[in-house]
Amino acid sequence: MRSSRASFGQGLRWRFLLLGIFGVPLFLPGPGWGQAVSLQAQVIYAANQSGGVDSRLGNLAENLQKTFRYSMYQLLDAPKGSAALNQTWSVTLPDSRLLEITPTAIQEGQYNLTVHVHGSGGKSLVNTVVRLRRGSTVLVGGSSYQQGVLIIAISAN
Amino acid sequence: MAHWLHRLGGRGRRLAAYAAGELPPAERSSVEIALAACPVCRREVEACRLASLALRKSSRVGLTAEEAAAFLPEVNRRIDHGQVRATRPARPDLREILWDHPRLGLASAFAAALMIVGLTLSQWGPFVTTPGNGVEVVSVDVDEDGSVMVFEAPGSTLKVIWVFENSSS
Amino acid sequence: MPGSEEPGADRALVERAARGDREAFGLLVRRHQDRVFNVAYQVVRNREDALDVAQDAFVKAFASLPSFKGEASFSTWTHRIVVNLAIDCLRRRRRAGPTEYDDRKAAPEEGEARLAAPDDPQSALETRQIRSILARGIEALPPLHRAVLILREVEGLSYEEIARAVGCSLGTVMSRLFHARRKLQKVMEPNLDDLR
Repeated sequence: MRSSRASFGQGLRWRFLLLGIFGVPLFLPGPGWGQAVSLQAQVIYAANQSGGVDSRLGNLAENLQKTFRYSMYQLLDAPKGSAALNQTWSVTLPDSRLLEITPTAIQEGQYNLTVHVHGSGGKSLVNTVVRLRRGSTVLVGGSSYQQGVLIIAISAN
Repeated sequence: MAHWLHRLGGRGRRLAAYAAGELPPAERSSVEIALAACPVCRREVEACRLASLALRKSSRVGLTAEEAAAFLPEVNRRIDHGQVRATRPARPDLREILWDHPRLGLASAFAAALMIVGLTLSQWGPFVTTPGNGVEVVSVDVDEDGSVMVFEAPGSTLKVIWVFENSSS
Repeated sequence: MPGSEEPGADRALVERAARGDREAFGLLVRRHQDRVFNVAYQVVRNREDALDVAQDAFVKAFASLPSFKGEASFSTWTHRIVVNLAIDCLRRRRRAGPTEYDDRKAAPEEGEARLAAPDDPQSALETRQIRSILARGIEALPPLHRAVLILREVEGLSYEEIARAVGCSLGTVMSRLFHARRKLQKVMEPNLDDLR
């Protein structure tokens, strides 16, 4: 009897050891844990009407003009924020739209972001996952606004 | 001393050379001292010597009388019929190459293992190198009434996710 | 006469053969055919293939005679030719598929020199068992390693001569010889107690 208890105990010890070896790494934080991503969303109104290019757009203006054929680009808003891994940063857009950005992976210099734009009433307009290198910008646009469209320039640092 | 240590520092090669009688006299005494202390080494040397001796004494093969008589006529026949085989030499296979370069084999195996581990980890991990403009669109979903286009305009560094809304949205 | 080495006489015959003298070439063949056949056989371990390789070696030597400048002896020069042809033959045969090891072909009774007296303790070496073990060890060696081992242990060539015959550096010869000997040693070691 004593020997069977001893062997059971020994087996249990091995089971715990194996669980520790293989199980603990599952609970260890992965890369990016604890880091926050600085985010900016420049909300741009683009239309074919007079008004020119908003000088506050800075370097973005030239690329916008190479990308689109609108005659007017106006910066409506340029909110900044931050979000940690799997946390969501929300920005209210014109016409009761909502922008949500969630970092899903963070590594030195690169970020995976889920970008979700909701229309009025909460309807999902676009849900995209992008991978950005630090300092890069992605444009999400096309929603109609006034005489033109909304273009959101998203960058992460 | 553990026998495996004897393989380090070229001692394995010295033992083999000693067994073949090719070791310079100056090195022989140090090998003999080592042999006195290592029974496994002594056995290796004995096996080496037996192999060499067996090779030298029992392997010589000659032509039989009939073969010898027919040899030159066959050579002449082949010369007269232009039977000089100009085939491309057969390349050594991988096994031969690894025999010649065992460290290459080890390094290749290690590199292969590293590659497999790296590829496996990269499958699990989220990161691959982003393209030149630093943006990669991994996935896009739109409302069932809409459609989307992802593009980069020539001359621009921007990647664009463009949604074509349904007029009702 | 088979096995005789008379470099001076060889040179004269080579010069005549290079000018197309078939009789001189025939004398060269007769003088070296046994040795060339033995080298071929030690590498390919098959009598038929060895004959084929040896004959091809002389055909190739005849074709290349005009380019033979006499910087090496005729035997060294033919060593190079026959070793390369034998290695080629072995590689092709291995690629063609596994062949069954044939004791009879690998260790023929005919033509084999008996070098030990019957009551000599070392006559144990003459037994079929040792030849069989050894043959399997040699069989497992890659062609180049086999060639180097045979040229050293059987033909008694120096390292430099082997390097010239096989077409590699001295260091490579020594390395291959070491690995080949180690392989044979590993094959023989388990049977040492039975063979003592």
